[in-house]
Amino acid sequence: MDTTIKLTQGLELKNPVMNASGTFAYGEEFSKLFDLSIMGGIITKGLSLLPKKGNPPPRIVETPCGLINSIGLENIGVEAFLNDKLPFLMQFKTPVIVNFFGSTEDEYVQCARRLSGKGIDALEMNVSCPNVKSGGIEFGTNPHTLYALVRKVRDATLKPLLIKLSPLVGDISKMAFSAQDAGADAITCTNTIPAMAIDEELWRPVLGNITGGLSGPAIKPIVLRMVWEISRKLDIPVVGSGGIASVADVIQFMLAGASAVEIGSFSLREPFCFPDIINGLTQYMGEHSIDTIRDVIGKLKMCGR
Amino acid sequence: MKDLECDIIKNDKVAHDTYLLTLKCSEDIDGWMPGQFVMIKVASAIHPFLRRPFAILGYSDGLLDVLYKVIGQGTYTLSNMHSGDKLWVFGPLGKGFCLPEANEEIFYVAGGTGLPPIFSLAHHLEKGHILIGAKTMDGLALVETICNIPNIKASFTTEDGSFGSKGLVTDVLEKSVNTSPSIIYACGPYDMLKKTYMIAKRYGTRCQVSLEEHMACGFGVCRGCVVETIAGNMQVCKDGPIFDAADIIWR
Repeated sequence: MDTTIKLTQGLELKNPVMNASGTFAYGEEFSKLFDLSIMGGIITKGLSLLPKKGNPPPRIVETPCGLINSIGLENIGVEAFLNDKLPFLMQFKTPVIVNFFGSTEDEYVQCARRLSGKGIDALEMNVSCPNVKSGGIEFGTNPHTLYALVRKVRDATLKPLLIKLSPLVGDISKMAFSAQDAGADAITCTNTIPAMAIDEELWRPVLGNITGGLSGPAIKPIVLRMVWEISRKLDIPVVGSGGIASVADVIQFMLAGASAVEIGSFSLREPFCFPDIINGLTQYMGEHSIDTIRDVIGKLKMCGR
Repeated sequence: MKDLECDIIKNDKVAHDTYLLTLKCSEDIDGWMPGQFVMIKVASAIHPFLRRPFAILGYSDGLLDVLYKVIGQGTYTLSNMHSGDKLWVFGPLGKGFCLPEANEEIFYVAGGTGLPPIFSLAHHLEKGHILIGAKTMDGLALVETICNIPNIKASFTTEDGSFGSKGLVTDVLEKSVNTSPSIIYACGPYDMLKKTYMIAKRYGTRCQVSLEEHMACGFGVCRGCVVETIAGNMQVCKDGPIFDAADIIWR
């Protein structure tokens, strides 16, 4: 059985299951639970040029079938990552995809340049974090701004470049096209959905940052629709990310058109879901006589039942 | 760190809204320390979505004890489970308490729901003075069990005076500590911990606190539970939950 996915030139995954950025730190904690080489790819916590302290607590609140977070992109910065974390990640036989963001175009470009060295297999550019004023989302909600930004980053790096979009746009296809036209190699669909929680006893917002980003199974149907919407139109592959919590979800996203998936929130609840889902995927293929997982991508049947 | 399937042996109400849960674990929880915790998945269904962190009250012969108060959906779901039901336990997680020096006098301070890690340590060390506070008598759990720990002196305080002395547990601490070498271990509401630290500071006493924060993963991957320390943001789940009180930037 063939589970490999060639996402783009120079980025081959042994299976379509990766982690989402921000729920996996830099891999060390998960490596104590299972061999990270089984992963389709490892995506790092989002990095900025300089370390970032993040938002005040509370940063997490549970909501029906999911959670809202307002971590605020806390990270150790590009240099500390290259020195202290990357060598560790390089030992695993799977692509290392580094997620990054900036607060200005120039920061994005500098980050991408600095992250273009040995040991990094691809970059995932975050233009969609809902938790910081400057640090993404304003770049990811206007197609012209996004085009200009992706263009500059594209010129700054030869690494495969994934653009992680925000779901908070009227027409996500427009954003996806902007990214594609500007030279992106793939689209990650999507980041969390802006949301909030209120304490009715204290009459206060629950999160220290007031608002945050909703993730988990609660958002899965919304993101599934977006993946279906954009993957039909784009020439570049789409990586689905939003509430995936089972083999069934992975298959659904691939049928909708995703070439690979990222699992985030669910791995906070089930840290062993990666080996479980990766093994379950081959089991599904066996049961459905699927020789290559690529035969599932975009094969949603639109007529007949 | 393992994810263990566990059978509920008992889940009994032991005080107001407070339950003692005993679980039979499918495998051994080896090498745990008082102060460490586990993340419990209370439902195989997708809601409540996150696991809940609980300090290890005790563990021996494959039986894990957890003491919890019903405060939200997770603990409410848990309180409605019965012997024979299954739960999933991920752990042991975090760092345990640093043990005292041989010459140090030991004080334990537990307020409200802060009892479990403190109880666990007192039970492990079997020496020192444990001070337990609650709003009212209804909120005091395991009183008899605590009094039966060998070589432990126990004092109880309630804010309304319905059991033990009347007032705050920190008032009793203030009267008990002196400048001789000692260490204070504390767990409870934020204001109690802060007051405990102020007292410790005044007497030059070492002080370790067990902190609480909203948690999602419990093992250091999401940075959801950070606390500000003199060394920057630390994660309650991975760098703690036990911290030297002097390292915390108290608000």
